Amino acid sequence: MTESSGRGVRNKGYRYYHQKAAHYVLYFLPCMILLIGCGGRKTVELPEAQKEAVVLHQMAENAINKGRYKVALKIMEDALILHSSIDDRNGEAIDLINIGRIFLRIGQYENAEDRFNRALEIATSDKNDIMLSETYASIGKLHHLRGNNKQAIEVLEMAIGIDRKMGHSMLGSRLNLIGIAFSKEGRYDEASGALKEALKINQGNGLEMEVANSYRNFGDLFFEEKRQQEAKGYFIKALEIDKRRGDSLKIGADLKALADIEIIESNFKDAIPLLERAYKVHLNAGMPELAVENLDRLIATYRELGDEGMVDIYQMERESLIDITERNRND
Amino acid sequence: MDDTRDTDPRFRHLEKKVGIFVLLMIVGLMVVIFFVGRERDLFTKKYILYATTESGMGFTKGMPVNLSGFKVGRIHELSLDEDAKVRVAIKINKKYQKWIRRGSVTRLLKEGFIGKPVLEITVGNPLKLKFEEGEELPFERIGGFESLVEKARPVLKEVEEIIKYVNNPEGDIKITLNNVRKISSELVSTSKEMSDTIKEIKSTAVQANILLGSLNEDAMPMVGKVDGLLDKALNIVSNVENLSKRLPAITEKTEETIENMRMLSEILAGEGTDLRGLIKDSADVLKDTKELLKGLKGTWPIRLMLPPKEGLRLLPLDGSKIKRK
Repeated sequence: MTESSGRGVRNKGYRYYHQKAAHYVLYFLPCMILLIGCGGRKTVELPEAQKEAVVLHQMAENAINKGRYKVALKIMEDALILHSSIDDRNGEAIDLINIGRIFLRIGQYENAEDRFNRALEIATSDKNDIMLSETYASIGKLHHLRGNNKQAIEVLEMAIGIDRKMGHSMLGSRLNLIGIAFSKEGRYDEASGALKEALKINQGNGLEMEVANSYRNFGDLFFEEKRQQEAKGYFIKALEIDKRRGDSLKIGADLKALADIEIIESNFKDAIPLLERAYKVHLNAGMPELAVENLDRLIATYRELGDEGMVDIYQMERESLIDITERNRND
Repeated sequence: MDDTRDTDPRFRHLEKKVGIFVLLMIVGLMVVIFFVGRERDLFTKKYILYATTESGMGFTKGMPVNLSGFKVGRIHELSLDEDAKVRVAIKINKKYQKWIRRGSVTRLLKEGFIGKPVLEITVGNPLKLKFEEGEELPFERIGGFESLVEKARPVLKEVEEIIKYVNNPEGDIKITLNNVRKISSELVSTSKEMSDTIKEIKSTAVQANILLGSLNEDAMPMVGKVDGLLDKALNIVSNVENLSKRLPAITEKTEETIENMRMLSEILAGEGTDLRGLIKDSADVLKDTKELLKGLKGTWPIRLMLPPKEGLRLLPLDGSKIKRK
């Protein structure tokens, strides 16, 4: 009895070890094969035409960074021709969206709409969800810039739906946009909800620019709701990030927004240095039109303070700035 | 709890099992130590020889030492002597001592152009004495790309000098060529002059014949004219004679030039193979290195360490309402 029970236990022991060995073989070996497979995988080289297109994209980005939008458009059109010549549909869609976005920046909305529609055709027929979401988002922004916030919300919701399904990292940016559109439509609760989610996602994805946008959009929302102190807190947070990123356009906008809060609260003296800083930033970053807007605010604020001397000084500066800008434009 | 351990058949003969296991481990360890030791020549008898070199560049402690391409030892130690020269201590397996005799030299070579460096000892004269412990082996530094460049340098310098010599306007070749050109142009004009003079003599002679025949007094000036022409002809002949005297010297110079040219072509033909080889080898090395780097860049895990390749990028769609003007 004892011997037979001993044998039973031994057999059980062997079975246990065999099972362990089998598990080891079953799990460990496939892992090893997978690792070796990953290791052995060779990097896929891009075809020549695509490499050329990548270079064109980099050149276009450089041109945009220098504010040379016409040059960027020309380069991006070349990339589009290149992609069409090798039937690279995804490349074509990217080029069309990029061209549309450049047109958006320079305010040529009809041209932008045309390119977005063409991109939409490609993305829909190819069932390219990423491009579809990007195109919807672009069209959404176009509607918002034209003041059609209802349509903007509809299209942006479509983009957000796709992004949620795919886990797209740009979801935070779309939520920022829809937040602005909701706010413009007076749907503050929905705006707040979208912006909260946007902030969380953008922080999670480490997208600093979009985090700053979320803060600024919150600031705008609270400003419209006459909650100035809360708005101020968000604009300060946005300003910190924008300064870290060296984004002059937005640094100036944040300073102007902070000055607006001071003006609303009749703290004209506090608004002055903020407006002066905003003016200096936009002027030195080569954005004379925005600098003139800041000067207008400065003149109005000094007038409120009754300082006619400063009004005259800034009035003269404004005139000479407009003069120089006109002359440069004609050249 | 203790009772369970005593009665469980899995723990029967536990001490023996553990003992065997430990013993097997020790034996395994000893086998590993033995093989590693043998691989590293730990158990072979060795002796030390020295070599002295101007620079320690390319030498490392532990660097293999080859004899006829076969590893016979390692560099044991590197040190600086009183004259700031590098003294290399080479530890060699005793069993290879029979081949390291007077006439053996050490050389620093590279396996291929970009391969790792090795110290090679050449086989000595079998009729001469063996190198004994602590003796000094002669050293020669050769091999590798640098040595080829060094080898090519004098050849290139020579070619440069030859080209300079050929191009020198004051040099023999240029002067000789100028002389030949001058002489040939002089010869052309002289021969033309001669043929014109002969034609003139012929026509004058015909006229003289007619006139002399009539013995007319009017013919006398014609005779004078013929005299003048003959003088002229004599002058030309003497010129040609002078020229013919200068011709051997010119021929000599030309021969010298041709000889120089022949020497130049011989030098180029002799060293040209080396030069061609050097250029080809350099191109091959560069090509290999390029391919090697390309291959390495595509290999795991190196490719993970490299920055990702740039692809097509969408311009950011800013989630803000700020407009750029």
